[in-house]
Amino acid sequence: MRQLPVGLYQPADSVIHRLSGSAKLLCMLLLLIGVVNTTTLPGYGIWVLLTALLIRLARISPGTALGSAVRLKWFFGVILFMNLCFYQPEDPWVRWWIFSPSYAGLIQGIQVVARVFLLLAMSNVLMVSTAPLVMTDAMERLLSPLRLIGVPAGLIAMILSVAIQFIPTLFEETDNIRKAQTARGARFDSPRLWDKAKAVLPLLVPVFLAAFKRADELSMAMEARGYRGDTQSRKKKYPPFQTADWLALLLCAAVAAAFVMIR
Amino acid sequence: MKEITVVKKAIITAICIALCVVLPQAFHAIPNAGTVYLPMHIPVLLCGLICGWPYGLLCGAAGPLLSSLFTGMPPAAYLPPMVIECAVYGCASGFLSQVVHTKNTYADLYISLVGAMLTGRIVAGLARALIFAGGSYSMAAWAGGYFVTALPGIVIQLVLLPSIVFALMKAGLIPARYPGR
Amino acid sequence: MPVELRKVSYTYAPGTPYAAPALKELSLTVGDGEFVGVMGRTGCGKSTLIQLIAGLAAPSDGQIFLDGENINERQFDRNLLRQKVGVVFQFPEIQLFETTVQKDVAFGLKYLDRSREQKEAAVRQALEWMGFDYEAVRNRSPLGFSGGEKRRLAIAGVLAVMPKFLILDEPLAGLDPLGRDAFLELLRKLNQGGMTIVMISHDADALAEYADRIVILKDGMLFKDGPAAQVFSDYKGLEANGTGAGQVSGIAERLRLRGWEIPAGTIRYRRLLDEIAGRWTQ
Repeated sequence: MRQLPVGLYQPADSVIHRLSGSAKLLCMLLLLIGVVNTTTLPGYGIWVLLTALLIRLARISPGTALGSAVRLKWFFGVILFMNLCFYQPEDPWVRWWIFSPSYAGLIQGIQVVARVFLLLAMSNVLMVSTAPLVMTDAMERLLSPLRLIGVPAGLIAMILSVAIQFIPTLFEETDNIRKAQTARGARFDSPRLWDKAKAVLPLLVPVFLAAFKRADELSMAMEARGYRGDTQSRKKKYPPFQTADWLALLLCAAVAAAFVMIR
Repeated sequence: MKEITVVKKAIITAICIALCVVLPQAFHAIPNAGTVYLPMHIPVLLCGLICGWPYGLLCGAAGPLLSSLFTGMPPAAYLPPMVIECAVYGCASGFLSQVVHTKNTYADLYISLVGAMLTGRIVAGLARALIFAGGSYSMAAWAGGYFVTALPGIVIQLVLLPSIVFALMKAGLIPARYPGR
Repeated sequence: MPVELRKVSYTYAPGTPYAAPALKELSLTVGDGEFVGVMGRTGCGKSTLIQLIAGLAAPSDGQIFLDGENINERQFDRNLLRQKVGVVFQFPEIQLFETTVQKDVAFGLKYLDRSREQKEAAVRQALEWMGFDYEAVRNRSPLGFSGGEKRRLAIAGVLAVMPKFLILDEPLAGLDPLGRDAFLELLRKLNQGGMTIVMISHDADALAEYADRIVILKDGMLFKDGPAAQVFSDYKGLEANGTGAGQVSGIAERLRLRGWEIPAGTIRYRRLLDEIAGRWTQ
């Protein structure tokens, strides 16, 4: 628990890995717009092919890219069933009690499942190919225009970077507290609802106390050094987009636009 | 203890965002903890209560995002509804605690929390219905189901959050809401 | 009955690039009623040792027995372990969380089969041992105390259970000299009352004065294990290892270099004074 957790990130050398973080994030958003606006089965077929291509380009094993989606198979099953049986009661194949499965329901179910599945797979490609710190930098960069409308982007950037620095420390501290309370005989679970809440207090209260104590110390140290939290913070220089970044953006924009227009 | 300074609010927000990443991991060992305790909601609600709505909003939006980035949970496709839900929690708990002043700390806390949790769940239910069902499924059903399944979580958080807030006040880490009482 | 480690190994994060062995086939027995001091440099495996004995982590290899029972067997009763083994971690003050001192100190007694009166008596006793006036503090919030007081409250919470086996991880760090001596005297008293004590510390002076046996770990293995007088007599070896042998051994060593005949095993302050005074009167 001492290392900064890296989430899904797997370092590798691929076209996708080399793209700049903010370009990738924007591409992802564009593709999402495209997926959400897809309304036909053949449309989803195209998306499946595109996603497969992305996975291939990023040199990720299909297992890694689709793992979290496969784990949701029961959820998918339920969604499919619900849509199949309840979506269009006017024109069902059969009618039995409250169930009225229909062709339209089946199509709708497949589309909903496909949509969630594709979103998961694509975002996995993004996460696996981008280090967490690169990603937060990219978000910061995309947020920076908000400065113009009075959002203190500098302050937000500071908050995010402090938050990231604290993650490993708090992991360790939480682990220590859990061990200390376990040794004192704490049981963090209870079958009764009311006791369930009380059972985690020995863990939660000390974790918050420890975390806020650190916040107290750090903010005092920062104030002592004259930080006032205005937007005077560092103006970060972001590297300009490369040709590959522009190309990727253009492609994704074209695909998204195509699907929005067909709709 | 004086009013909390901007710097301190910012750092408390940062800490709460970090806890959004850490707490769900810490609760892994407890069976069904993720769905029962909703550990990520706790720091978000708390951040709003203590620092006010803009900070709560930031915490709610950034918490799930960073958690997804650093631990892979929640999966990115669930992020949009979750970010919306948590952002509403932080924003609403902050707004309510700024507005509600009944001269009783417990009453203020409960009103702000219940208000925030209801608003958050309604908005999240609608957001999920929109994103997952593309607006074609009965939105009310989604929102309703979401709300009912979350009831135990609401009860649990109504026990947890005031305990945490009072512990922080006792330890002198945050100012008392009504000093001298 | 004793705690026994048989060829215990422990590896952090096995199977990852960060994998690091913390203990290597360590065998160690601590008998009932012993007062053992554990030393070693940072990263030698001391903290891992505590977690393994307290059952907070399972060894990668080897077994740990408490009163003859393997604590990592499925059928082993964990509650028994919690009752028998008390642990005072580094900076124990972080574990305070209850609304009153009374409740916090009594937390460990919650699941034990004892009457209300017995529990209250145990809490009172533990608080008094740690230098508090029970009636004055019982209803106060434990969070409103100063740092040093909080640490004493947390230790009281561990003592209230009256474990047979008490492990302490650097309990002296940050205590003022007066509090340090009082605490060590308390440990001696508890030890004489039958409690087995294992204290991890960098403070060679304290261990030389109070512990009967010294165990020194190095790179996850036993470096030294024996009666305190014997282990601390190897002044040069310990200094070379970076552990230190304490002031008294140091002074004795210097006097020996000057030709004084200070017997080996002079590691306690009183004993050294007696030796010096004896020379003086000659």
